[in-house]
Amino acid sequence: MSGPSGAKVGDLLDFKWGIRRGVGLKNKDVRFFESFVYEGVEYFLYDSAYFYHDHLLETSVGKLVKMYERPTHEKVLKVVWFFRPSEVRNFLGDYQPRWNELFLASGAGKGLSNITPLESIMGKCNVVCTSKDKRNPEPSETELKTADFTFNCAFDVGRRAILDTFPDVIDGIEVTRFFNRKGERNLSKPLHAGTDTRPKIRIKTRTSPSTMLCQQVEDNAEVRTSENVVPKISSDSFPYKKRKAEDENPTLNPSSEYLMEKELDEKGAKLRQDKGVNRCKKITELTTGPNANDESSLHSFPFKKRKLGDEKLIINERPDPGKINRSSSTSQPNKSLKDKEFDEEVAKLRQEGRVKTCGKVIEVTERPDAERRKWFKKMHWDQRLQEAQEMGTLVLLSNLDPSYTSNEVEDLIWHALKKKVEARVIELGVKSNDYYGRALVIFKTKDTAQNAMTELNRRCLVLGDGRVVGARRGTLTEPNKQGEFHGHLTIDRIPSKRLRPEMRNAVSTSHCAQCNTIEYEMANEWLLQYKKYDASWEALSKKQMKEIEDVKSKLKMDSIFPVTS
Amino acid sequence: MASAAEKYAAFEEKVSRTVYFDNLSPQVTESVLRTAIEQFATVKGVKFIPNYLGPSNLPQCALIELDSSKKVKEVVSMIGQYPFMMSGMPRPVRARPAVAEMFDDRPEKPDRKIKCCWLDPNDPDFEVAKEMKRLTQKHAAEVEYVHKLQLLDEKKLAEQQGEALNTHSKKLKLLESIMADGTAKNLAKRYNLGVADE
Repeated sequence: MSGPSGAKVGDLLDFKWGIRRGVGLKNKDVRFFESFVYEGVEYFLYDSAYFYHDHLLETSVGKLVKMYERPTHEKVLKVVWFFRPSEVRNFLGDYQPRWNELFLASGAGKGLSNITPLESIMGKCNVVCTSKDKRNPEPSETELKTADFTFNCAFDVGRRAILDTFPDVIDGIEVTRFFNRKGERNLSKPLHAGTDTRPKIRIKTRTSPSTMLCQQVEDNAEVRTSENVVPKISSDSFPYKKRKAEDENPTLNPSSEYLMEKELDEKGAKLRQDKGVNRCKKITELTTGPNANDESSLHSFPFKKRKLGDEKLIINERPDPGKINRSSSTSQPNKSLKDKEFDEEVAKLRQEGRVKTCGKVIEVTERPDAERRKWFKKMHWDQRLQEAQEMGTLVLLSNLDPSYTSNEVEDLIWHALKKKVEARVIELGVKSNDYYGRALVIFKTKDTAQNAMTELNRRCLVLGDGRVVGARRGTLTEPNKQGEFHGHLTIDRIPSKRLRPEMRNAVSTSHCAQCNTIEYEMANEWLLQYKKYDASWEALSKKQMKEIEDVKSKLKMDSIFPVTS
Repeated sequence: MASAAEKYAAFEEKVSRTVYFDNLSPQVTESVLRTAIEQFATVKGVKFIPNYLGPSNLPQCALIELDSSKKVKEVVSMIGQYPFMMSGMPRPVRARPAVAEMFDDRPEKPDRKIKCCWLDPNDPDFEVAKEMKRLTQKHAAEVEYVHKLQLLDEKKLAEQQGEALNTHSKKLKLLESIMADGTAKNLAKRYNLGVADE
């Protein structure tokens, strides 16, 4: 029996079956075994081992519960998985796992176990059960010390929760098989200590970036290929299923990406959990673990980020001249009475004996008539801001401390400019840089607003922590009239009259998407989009903060704000 | 009259009980939010954050006050795990715990001293301060740009998904129609194939 490519399937190097166990019930040609020797290591039934997955940085650990050979001479293993804490971190709740602790999969659902080709096994692993369950023999000190991993709890893949008590049966196997064996053989073999570094060595090929990455993530089911899996096994003996996957679009795997993936691991891991179980369907019976699959979706991250980064570099140059023009235009000095007043003030400050730098440090305390604020019932802000914009009295202050309150901003303006104003701080959004605080300020008259802007632009108002307040004419954004919102889709369906009222309600109530709907998959694409942009915003933030620090360090704060009080 | 410290403490407590929702459609109203979240926790207050300065088709954001901070954690983790739809599909909303700076009517932190100082053009540090101002403006422009990019990307994704959805639904409609009007049965008779009923 040969696979589609014509080669004899199932010829593996270094392989020998061990003890026979019997034949399959349904298909007499399927032979079951109890042990085998592969690459010089003997594996027994119910041993734990490391398994390799395409594109995953870490190996997965699983317990061999069945090993058999098909009539086609394919050798396969059935493996029940152990979860690493990072893989289930969203469901841990308050549980604090130890550094080498795993969770045994239980329950029913995706991620519990897999049938994998035998070649995916990497090496033996020593997993000791430390649970206080009566059926579990307690491990000895030495066993604990020599164990690679321990497990104490089970993770139910159906309910997605940590269980302290083990069920009686896990995937058709009695749970006692998973516990420590009585009269435990010493399984630890030193040469396997390094097995989990093997995948990195195996990634040798480096393909050129394909345009695949620029496509949307939904195509990524095909992206997962086994192109660089196990190069040492000759192509002749490649199980035919793996080769099928190879024919699909090649993916990109520069080894450097793994480093970036580690950083992005945090962001993508959660998606892996959800998407992984769905994408399983697309490539049947490949070496897939509980969450092998959407690893590759992360690949689009670094590239998109890079693209964004390049564009950002370009804009560094562009807006600058534009902005400077704008500020200078607003600071056309309108020589009015008020202006003269300012000039006098400046002259006064200059005369006051300045030892190092500018005039006196102004301590911003509460405005004299601060009490008054509490008396008047205020109009709705929207209205006020709109009016102010029309009258030209609206000013936008930027680079404030984000923790300032509206009242503090008003006090600040009172002390700095001797003007009574109304202020409203702009709330922190999750998107922009947290460092900058902004506020919209309404002045009494257009002229005062104008002068304030002029003054703030001509001189520099420096705040205690090295911030220089910027001022601009405030413009509010147009409200979203069309109710344009990307992402909510409608299709021409049965006209709503014919829909039964329950169905109508069902569509319009808020709900969590169920896993088996298209809606769910699309929602995951959106979540990916969000995460991608989160990464971009963070990168931008970091870059901006660095630039700020650079400039701040040049500003000699001590000379401006003498350290007296 | 509560002292400043007490007021602030009460405010902080409120903040810990509040969830910040993001990516809300403009059609989401207070009542929709309320009914949605009441499925999981009692809602004490809903406040939308007005978008004064961002791009005009930025999704809405809202602050929802619940009755305990434990509930906040639950809601946030649930919305983090399962995509939650409000007033439309398939774009999910996002939630995170609120922070003090998200409230525009927050009380002052007690014992905070703000200092400020004017710098004149002939000050040694004036140039540096001016550079700082320029930097602020540049950063604001960058932020605006990324916002724009983000909205464009979202639009693209939405369009793509819309197309995919339409093709799917057309396909299904087609299937439905040939089953309904008997074409499938006729063809099956021709080819001597069995057609399952429904």
